[in-house]
Amino acid sequence: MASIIILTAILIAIFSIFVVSLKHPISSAISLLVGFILLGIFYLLYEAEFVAAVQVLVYAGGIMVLYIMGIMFSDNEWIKITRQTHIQAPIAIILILIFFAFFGHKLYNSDYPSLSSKSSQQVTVVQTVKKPSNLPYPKMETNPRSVAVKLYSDYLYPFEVASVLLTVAVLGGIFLAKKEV
Amino acid sequence: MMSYVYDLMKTPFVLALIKIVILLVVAFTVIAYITLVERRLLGFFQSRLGPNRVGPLGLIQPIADGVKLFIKEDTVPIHSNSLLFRIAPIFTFFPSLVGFGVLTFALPWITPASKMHLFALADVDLGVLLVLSLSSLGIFGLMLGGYASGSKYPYFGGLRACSQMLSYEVPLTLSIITVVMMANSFRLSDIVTAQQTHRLYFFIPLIISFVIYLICMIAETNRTPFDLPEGESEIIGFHTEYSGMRFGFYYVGEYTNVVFLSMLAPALFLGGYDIPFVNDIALWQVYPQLISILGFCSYAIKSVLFAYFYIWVRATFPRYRYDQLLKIGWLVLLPISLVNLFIVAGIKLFLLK
Amino acid sequence: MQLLNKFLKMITFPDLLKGLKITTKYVSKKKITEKYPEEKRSYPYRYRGRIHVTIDTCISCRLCEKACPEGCLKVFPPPREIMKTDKRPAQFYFSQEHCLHCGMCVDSCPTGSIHHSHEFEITVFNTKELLFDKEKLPYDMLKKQYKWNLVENVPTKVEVKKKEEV
Repeated sequence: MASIIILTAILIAIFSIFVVSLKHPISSAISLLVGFILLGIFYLLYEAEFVAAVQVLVYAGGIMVLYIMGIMFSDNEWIKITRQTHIQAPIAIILILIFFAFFGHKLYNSDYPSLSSKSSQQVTVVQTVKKPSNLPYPKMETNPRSVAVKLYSDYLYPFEVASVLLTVAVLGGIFLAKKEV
Repeated sequence: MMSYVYDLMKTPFVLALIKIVILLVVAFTVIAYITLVERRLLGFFQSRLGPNRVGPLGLIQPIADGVKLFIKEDTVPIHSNSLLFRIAPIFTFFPSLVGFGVLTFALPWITPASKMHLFALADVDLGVLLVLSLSSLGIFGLMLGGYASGSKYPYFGGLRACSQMLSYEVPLTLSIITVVMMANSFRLSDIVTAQQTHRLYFFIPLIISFVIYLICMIAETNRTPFDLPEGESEIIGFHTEYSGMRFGFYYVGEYTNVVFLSMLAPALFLGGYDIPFVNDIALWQVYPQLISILGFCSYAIKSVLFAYFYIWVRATFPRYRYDQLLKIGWLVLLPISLVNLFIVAGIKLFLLK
Repeated sequence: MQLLNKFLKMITFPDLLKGLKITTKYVSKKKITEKYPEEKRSYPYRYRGRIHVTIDTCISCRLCEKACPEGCLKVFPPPREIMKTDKRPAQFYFSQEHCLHCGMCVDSCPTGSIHHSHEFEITVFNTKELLFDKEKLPYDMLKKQYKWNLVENVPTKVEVKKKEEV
C-alpha cells in the first residue's frame, strides 16, 4: 500500500512539473487534469473517498473543462514567441528546495498518518450471513457523514470564511465583467 | 470505495473475475444491439422497416457494422495534434463503461450454503457520486477530440459540446442530489432499499427532479433534441475528422452513455429491481432466488422503458437552436432544480423527521 | 384562472406530449416499405423496361435503326433471295449500354415487333453482356402479349405461308 501511495505522489509531482514546463497550453492543461485525477486517487488511498470523488467531480470535471475551454477560445499565436523560463528561475529553484526541506522536516516529525502503520482494520461488508436479515444490505458508516460532522462542528469558522471569500470572488468577477456599473 | 476494495480482495478472485467478464459481455451485447433496436424503431416511427437485411430481422447488423468500422482506413490528419487525437476517443468511452460496475441489478443471491452474493460488481459506498464524477470526465473526449483534429469545424463542434455538457451537468447533479437526500445515502442499493421499504417510488414525490433528469439525460448524451455537438447531417460535429475504429469509439461511447443513464434512472426514480405492487423484502426472505431473478427482470424492463424513451424522443422532436439550448439549461432548468433542491431539503428537514 | 391555465400549460408541456402521441401511432401502423427482392411491386401499364424484340414478326425495314437517337440498334436484313419469302433479319444487334429507354424504336416499328418489357433488373458484371444479338434476345415474347404495342392480326410470314398451304 505504501509503495502505491509513494508512486502516486511521485506521479503527481512529475505531472505538476509538466504543467509549468510544457510549452503548449493544452498540454499543460492536460497534465494538470491528470494531476487532479491522480490527486483523487491519492485521497482514495488515504480512505477519504468523499473528498476523492468531489475532487474528481469539481476539479477534473468542472474547473479543468473551463480551463481548456478558455484556452480554446483564446488566441494561441503568442505561445510561439513566449519564453517559458524567467530570469528569476535559479533563485526560485533554490527557494523551492529550501521550502521542500523545511516542510519535509516538519512533516517527518509530525504525527501525520504514517505510511507504515496502516492496519487492516477496515470497515467491511459482511459477506456470509446465517439468515437473510430484515434489510438486504448491512448498514455502513458512511464517509460523507463524518466529513459533514467535522465540517460543521470543528471547522465551521474556516468553512464560513471560505464561503465569504468565494462570494467576494463571484461579486468581483461580475463587477469586472460588467461594461458599465 | 476503499471498504469495497478490501472486500473485493476477500471475495474469491475468480468469482470477481467471472463477475467482471459477465458484466462486460452483457454490457457490450446490449450496447451493440441498442444501435440496431434504435435504427429499427426509428424506422417504425417513420413507417419504414429499418435495417432487416443482415440475418433474420437484421440481427447480425451490429456485427456487420463493427466489422466495417474495423476494416475502414484509420486516418490521422496532418495538422492534428496526433497524440491527443489518438487518446481523445478513449476518454468518452471508458468513464461511462466504469459506471456499470456501480449498479446493483437485483437483490443479493443466496446460495444453498446460505452465502450471500451481491448482484453487483462493486456496490460502492459513494456510488452516485462516483458515477457523477466519472460522467463529468466524459466531456474531455469530445472537447479534446475537437481540439486535436486541427480543423476549425470540429474545433467549434468541441466547444459546443463542452458548453452544452457543462451547462446540463449542473441540473442533472442537482436533481440526483434530491434523490440522495430522500434516501439518505449515496449508495445505489440503499436508494433502492429506501424505495422498497417506503413502498413508494421516488418519481412520485420528486416528480420535478424526475422531469429534469429526463431532459438532462438526453442533453448529457447529446441525443436528438440536443444533438448540437454532433449534428449528424447539418452542423459539423467534433468527430468529423475521425474515421474507422476511432469514430467507432465515439459511437459506442455515446450508446454506452445511453444504456448507462437509462439503467441508472430506474434505480434512482423507479425503484430499481423492486417488483411493483409486491412487498419484495418480505418475499425475498422466503424465496430469495426467485425474487432475485424476478427483480432482475423488472429492472431490465424498466431500463428498456427509458431506452425506448430516448428513441421515442429522437423520432419526435426537431433539434433546438444553440442559444435556445443554453437558455433552457441556465435560465429554466438550473433555477427550477435549485428551488426544487431547497424545497425537498425543507420537506426532508421539517416534515419527515 | 387564465393565469393558472397558462401556468398549467407551461409545466405540463402539452405540445410536446401531443407530438409524442402522434409518433407513437406510427409504430404499429402498416409500413410502406417494399421488401424488394422477395416481393415485387406491380409496375405501371406503360412501364418502359428493357427493349424486347420479336424476331418472327420483324420485316427488316430498319426503321428502328434510323429512329434510334443513340444508334444502339443494328439490323442486318437477309439476302435478297430470302427476303422475298422470309423477311426476318439475318442478324440483329441491340446494345443495352447506350439505350435511353426513349421508346422511339417502339413508335417507329410498323409491325410492333419491338416493345418495352417490364424487365428492369438489367445490371451485369461485364459490359459485353449488355450487347444482345438475335440469339440472345428473348424470343417468346408473343406468348406474354403486351397488347398496347402489338399490332393485332398481323400474321407472320410463316403463318401466312401455312394458311396458303391449307
